Amino acid sequence: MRRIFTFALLGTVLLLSACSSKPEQELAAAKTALDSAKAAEADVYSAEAYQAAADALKSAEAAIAVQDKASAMGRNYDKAKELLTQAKTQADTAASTAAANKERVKGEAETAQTEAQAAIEAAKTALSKAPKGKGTKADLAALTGDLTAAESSLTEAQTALTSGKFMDALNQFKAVKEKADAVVTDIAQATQKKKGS
Amino acid sequence: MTLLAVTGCRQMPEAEWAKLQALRKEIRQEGLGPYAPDLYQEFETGFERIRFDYALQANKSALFRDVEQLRRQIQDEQSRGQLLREQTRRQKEQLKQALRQKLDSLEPSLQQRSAATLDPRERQMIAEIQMQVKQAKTIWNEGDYLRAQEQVDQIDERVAALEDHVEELTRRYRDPDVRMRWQAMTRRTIRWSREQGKSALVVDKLNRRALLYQSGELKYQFTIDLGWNRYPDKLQQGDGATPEGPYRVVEKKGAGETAYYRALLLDYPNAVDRRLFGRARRRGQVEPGARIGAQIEVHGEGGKGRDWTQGCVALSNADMKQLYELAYVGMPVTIVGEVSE
Repeated sequence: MRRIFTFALLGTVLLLSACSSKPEQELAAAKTALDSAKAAEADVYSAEAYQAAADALKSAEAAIAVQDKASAMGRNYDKAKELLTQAKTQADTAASTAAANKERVKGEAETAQTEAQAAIEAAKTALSKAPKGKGTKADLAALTGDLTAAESSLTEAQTALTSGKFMDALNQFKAVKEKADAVVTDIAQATQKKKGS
Repeated sequence: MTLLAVTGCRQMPEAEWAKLQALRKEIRQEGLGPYAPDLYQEFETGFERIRFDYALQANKSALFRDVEQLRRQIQDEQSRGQLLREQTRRQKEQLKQALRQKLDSLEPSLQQRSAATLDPRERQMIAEIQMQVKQAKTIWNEGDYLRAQEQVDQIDERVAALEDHVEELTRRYRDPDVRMRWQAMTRRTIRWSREQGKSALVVDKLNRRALLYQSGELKYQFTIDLGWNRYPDKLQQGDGATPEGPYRVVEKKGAGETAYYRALLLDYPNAVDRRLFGRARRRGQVEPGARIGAQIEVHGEGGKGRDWTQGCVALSNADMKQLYELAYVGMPVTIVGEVSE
């Protein structure tokens, strides 16, 4: 009788322990999801969702630590599991949102690149076609300096684009286009001045 | 009843905890942490400790909770967070204003500087800075002041490189031997004017002015534009520099004889110029086939406030009219880097 009781008790304990087993797989899955989100630059392109996921993970870790300290009989990882599920879902959402946002900015940067390149080509053409007399030669030489700067900045922006710094690249392409457009305007003005003098 | 009272007193401080979480979210959303990294780190560490303690107490039955200790912890952390928020908001605002002021002042000064020079290298450097200022402004408009500050730091480095470039170009302006030579040339010209009782022109490149002496007395001062390559002495055709040395007017070109209103043709290149050019050619300092140049004049159509000629000295038409009337063939025109007062 005593033996039966012992077995029954042991069985109950085992059952209880099994029910509230430490959510190691869930923890690993949530961490992996966070790592993937970070790798997708979710901390930049989907910062709020990423922070929420990171917060949920930290809360889950705290809950796990609390349960680890509790007696085996009293352990309950349900809250931790719930938080880990939440962390994983939010991290996955952050990663996909980041990917979409990044793709959008990349697209914008590529369009800006095309526009900047076109503006530089237009400036080069205008410069080569501009009449070079004593009144314009120096102006045009100076504008060549402006154009060289625009070209060198274009190369820097292209490096930023290929290394995945899309925001930086986008801003730089826009500045290059503005400068190249200004060169075209200045060429027209220099040529006009020559005609007027 | 006693049990209910004790349990009631030991309710988890949910409202306080929610308030603290909201404060933390606010600090994060405003991106305040990086403005006081140490204080922020301290706050974050405290927050994580509370998160754990909260979970720990929540896991206990109400009878065994130490809620008061937790409540105090949350209140302390709330105070620390509020202090952090206020301090960093102030810092962020200060940085925002300082950057705005700097970027706003940079744009017109660069524009002015670019308009004042036609030196392609200098223009290139200025244009690079201008483009970076645009980027910094975009980042500033996005509210990322720390990244804008990084851009401004790079801008400062580029501005310093630009200053170095100009300093390099003007190095000989600080050379005592060169300055002494210019001073001697200027003195000789003024003495000649006094002794001969005639007019003589002295051109001061650095200060962009032409000084007309009559019988050794300074009578007129004109503002001038120079060769686009403002600082060096002329060495060869196409270098855009205005020659330095004692020259004389060899021809007066009136209305219809020049595209530049009125002109005084100088005897550039003189014997010294030819000797220096020959030496530079022998030393390989000029490209094969390079020519020394000619047709250096003092002419009109100037007054543009920037250096744009190929090496001539340009005056506004009104000034040129006055100078032309006073000038004569044979008049000395001494061009120096700078006239010492």
